[in-house]
Amino acid sequence: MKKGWKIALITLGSLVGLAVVVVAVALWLVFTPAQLTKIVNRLASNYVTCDTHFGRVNLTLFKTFPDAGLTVNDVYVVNPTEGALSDTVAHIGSLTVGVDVKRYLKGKEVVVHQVLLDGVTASLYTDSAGRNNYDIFPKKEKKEKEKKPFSLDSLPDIDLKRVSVSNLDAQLLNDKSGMQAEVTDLDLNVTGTLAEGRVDADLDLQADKMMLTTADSNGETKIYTVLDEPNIDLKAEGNLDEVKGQLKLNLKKGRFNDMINETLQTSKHDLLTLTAPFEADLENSRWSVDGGKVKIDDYALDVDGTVQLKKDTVPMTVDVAVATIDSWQVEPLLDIVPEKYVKFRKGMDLDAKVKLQASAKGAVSKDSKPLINATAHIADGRFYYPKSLPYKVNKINGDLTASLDLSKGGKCSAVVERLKAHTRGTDVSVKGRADDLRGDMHIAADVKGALPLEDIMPMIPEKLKVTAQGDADLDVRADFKMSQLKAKAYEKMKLDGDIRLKKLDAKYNDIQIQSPDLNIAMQLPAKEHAGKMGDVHLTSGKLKVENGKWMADLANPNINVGINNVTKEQLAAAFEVALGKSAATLDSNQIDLSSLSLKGSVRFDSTQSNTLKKYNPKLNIQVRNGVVNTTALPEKLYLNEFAFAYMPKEVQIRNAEIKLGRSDFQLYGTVENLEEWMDHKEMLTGDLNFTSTYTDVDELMSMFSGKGTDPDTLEQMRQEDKVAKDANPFMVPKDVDVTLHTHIRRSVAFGNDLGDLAGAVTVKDGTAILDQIGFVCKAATMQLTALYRSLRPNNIFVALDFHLLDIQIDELLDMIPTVDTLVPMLAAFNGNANFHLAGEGFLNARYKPKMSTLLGSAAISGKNLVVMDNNSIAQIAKLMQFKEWKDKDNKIRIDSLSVEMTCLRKEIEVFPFLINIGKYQLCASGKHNLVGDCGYHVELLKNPVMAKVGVDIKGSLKNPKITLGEVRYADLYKPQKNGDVEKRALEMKRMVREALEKNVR
Amino acid sequence: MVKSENDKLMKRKFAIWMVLAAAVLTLTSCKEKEKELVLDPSQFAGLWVKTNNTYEYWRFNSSSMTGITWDETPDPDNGEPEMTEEESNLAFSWSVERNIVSFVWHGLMENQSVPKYYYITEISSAAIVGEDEVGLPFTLRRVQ
Repeated sequence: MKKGWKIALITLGSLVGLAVVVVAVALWLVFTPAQLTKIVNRLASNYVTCDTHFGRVNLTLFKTFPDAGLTVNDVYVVNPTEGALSDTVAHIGSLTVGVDVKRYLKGKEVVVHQVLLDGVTASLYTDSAGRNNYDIFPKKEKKEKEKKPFSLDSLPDIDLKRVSVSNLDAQLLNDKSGMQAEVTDLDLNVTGTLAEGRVDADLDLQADKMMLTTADSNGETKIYTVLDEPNIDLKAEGNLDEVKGQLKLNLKKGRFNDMINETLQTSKHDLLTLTAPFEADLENSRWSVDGGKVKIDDYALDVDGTVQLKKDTVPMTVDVAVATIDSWQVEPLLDIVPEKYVKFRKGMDLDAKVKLQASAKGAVSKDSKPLINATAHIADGRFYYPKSLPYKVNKINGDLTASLDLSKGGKCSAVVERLKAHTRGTDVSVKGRADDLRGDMHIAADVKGALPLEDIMPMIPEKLKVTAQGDADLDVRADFKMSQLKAKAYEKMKLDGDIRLKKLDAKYNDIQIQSPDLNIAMQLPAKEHAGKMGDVHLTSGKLKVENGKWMADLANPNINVGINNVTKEQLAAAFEVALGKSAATLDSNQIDLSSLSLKGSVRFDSTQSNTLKKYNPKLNIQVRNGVVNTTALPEKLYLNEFAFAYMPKEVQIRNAEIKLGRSDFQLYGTVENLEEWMDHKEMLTGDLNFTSTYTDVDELMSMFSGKGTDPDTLEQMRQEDKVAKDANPFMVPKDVDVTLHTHIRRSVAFGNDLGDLAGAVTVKDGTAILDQIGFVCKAATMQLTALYRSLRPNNIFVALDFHLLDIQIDELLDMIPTVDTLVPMLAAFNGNANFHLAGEGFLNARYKPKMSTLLGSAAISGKNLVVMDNNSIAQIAKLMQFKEWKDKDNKIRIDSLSVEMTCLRKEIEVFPFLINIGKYQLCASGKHNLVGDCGYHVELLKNPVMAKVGVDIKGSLKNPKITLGEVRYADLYKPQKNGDVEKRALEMKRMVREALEKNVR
Repeated sequence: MVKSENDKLMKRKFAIWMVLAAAVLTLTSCKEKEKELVLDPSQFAGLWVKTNNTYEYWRFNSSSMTGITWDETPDPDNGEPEMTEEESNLAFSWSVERNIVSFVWHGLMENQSVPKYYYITEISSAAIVGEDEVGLPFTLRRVQ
């Protein structure tokens, strides 16, 4: 472009120089047109190397008044050049030069005041070798001139009062640079002077069209510019160091490559209007605009500022401010923006009124760029882009500022002073700033909003299956860097937000959440949980969470969670949960509680399959007034107080006050290896203290009958054992080793009232053990050691070691009817006795003893017993000829009794024992079986006549045959006379008693 | 007259004591015959079944002098045997002395000791015949 103008100016200058020659000749030699024409034509060859032709030459006074002028018509400059569009380089219809007459007459000084050209056509051409068809002047010998830097002082005084070019059509073709330019119907009018360092000029340029194209070495168009009806008006006056003026520029239409789209082309507005009052310091190359206005189509800007051009080592500096005069309507503005810059608009409805203010200040150099500050005011905006937001956003209002330091290492920032938007029922406001826009963007923002949740739903992917109703109030403050966001380094980000949900009714997959008010407070980094990445604090008056299977209805939940490592493989969280009156259900199971407090942490480890190891919970839980209603239990389970702490290796039950059915108990202690037990690597171990004011063992046994084993395994075992459906024996859990240290004030077991029950109950790998449980029953002190091992439902091993001290015999038989079966003769005695029983055997699924497996021994000892008179005793007494063996009250009294017996399968064997009845001493022994057959022997050892009588009792137990028998035990208690039989009997008796008494505390 | 009645009574008592003495002598004689049998533990080794309860099995190990018994009587509820050898609790230790075999059952419970002994009157590779101290029979038939 500049080069084209340069060529045009050179051409013009050449023509002016030619005119000056003509005028000089005319003034000095010829005054008639004919003479003047001849002279000019002859002299032209001296100054121009190509063919020229001058038409009529006239002197004129009126056209150039008050100057004297010389007019030349039809000036042709012909310089045939290959490649040029025309042989004629230029044709000037009329060339007039006005000369200052006064100065000529006074001092023979030729001073040109006016140059007027009309009807100019030019065709300038440069071939690919750089030869120009307008090189028409003789070449002068080149003299080495000392190059001097350009200075305004070096400019000659110019007193050109008027330069006028009319109807100029010019073409320029440069094959070397690939440039082509064309000017059509150009009018130029310049008036002014440059003298003694002062300029006073007025330039007015109009053209019908100006065109410029350039191409690269391949012929591809680089620049294509067309200016339709350009109009330039430039006025300047003043000293060269302080020129003031005004530039006006108007361009009706135009093109610049593809930057001017069709909408702009067809706009009713002018393409560009510029009005720029300016001041210029030409000495120092500083230009200022004050009150300038630029208008592109219908968009007007105020422009003010100063440009200081580079001088010596001082770089160019700018201090420019622009501002929109009125609000710009964005939608039509975007219509005139080239399409390649607004492709994002496809499918989008975007509009707003925007006011802009911007300034650029600073040096412009390779290493430095001016600092740009900008503000934007947005009003009445609207936005609709269904692909990202399926509803319209309107009432967009806001103020934004930006500060851009585009120099190397400079910082750029943007501030959203306020930004509000509304959509349907949603109001959102944003406030914040973004720093370091060119680098690691740092964003600090405050987002506030009130929105119906259903407005969010369209933005949530359908595959998430989320629905929500309700209203949300947002107040979120965030402070983070983009690098942190990309790296998901949330632990380095700051977030402080409150989300208040009202009338929440949301559903995610099968989970439904309802709450009249739910507040969620978030904090990054965590303040309440030291060392954690963030806090989440959830509070509500009421929160209900449910799916088809379970439900939790929570009153006043207060859940405070500290989270760490959100995106890492290990998610960690610490939390405090407080619930008021709440309820939860799972299928037909329900738990109600008046309060719950939970404090603890979890650390998620995705590499683990074990649920506990996967979450690594550490929990402190306290439940008050809980009621568990579960199908697993026929009665409600009341948790009056339940406090426990869970740690990876152990569970500490600090206090569990439980009521179940008629039983109440308090539990505390430790359970260990829960995680390893779930992986079937180790047994679950526990050591618990169990205290109770009342425990109904029968009821508890009934409740837990058949429970405690993996359901699939149990069912398989039941099928293999062909167990009837109504038989549900208690199956002791396997892989469990738990000991309960019990102290029960009062209990009912097998229909018996028991008191002060104390001892250890152990459940160990399928076996339940009562270890030396002491208790009081029917005023007797008792001790029981029992073992219950559920090998199979139909094969349950039970072992007992039972000691009853000082118990009424009739009460003993009442308490344990089986004793009467085992020792039928005991029913004949009345009084207090000590009873020891050790036995074992198997039960079937209905707890029915398998008689063939019974093995046991028992011992009964007592003093001052009364023998209940009956037929059998009377017969024995008769056979032994007892006399005066009854007391005065007709009762039979025994001083002491000590009996040992054994049971093997269905056979009971009573070892020889002594009975002292008054003056008589008897020894008895024998066997009977559970079928009812017996074979006993009673022998009189001491009597007043020293007779030895033996009586055999055989046959049916109920109706035995009692006959005299042989004497066996005459020497039984005389060690020196003992034979083998006596020794064996005594040894067996000793063995049984010692074994029985071994476990008595 | 009174003396005569006393004499009669004395004679009657004497007669009774004489009868008893004769009976004692007779029984003593029988036992002396039983003592002639001397048992060898190896004779017991193997599996036996009670002759009066063909579900009741006895297995003797003569090297360790241990054994086990179990009863496979069908459970009336489901017909399954009450007990199997593998699950039986009735393990015992045993010993022999002359014609007496003694057992001590220990069961599965600690400190359990139930002793028994039987007088063996006849033993062969096919059968063991004996009785307890009150005369109840103890008879086994070899199975293996």
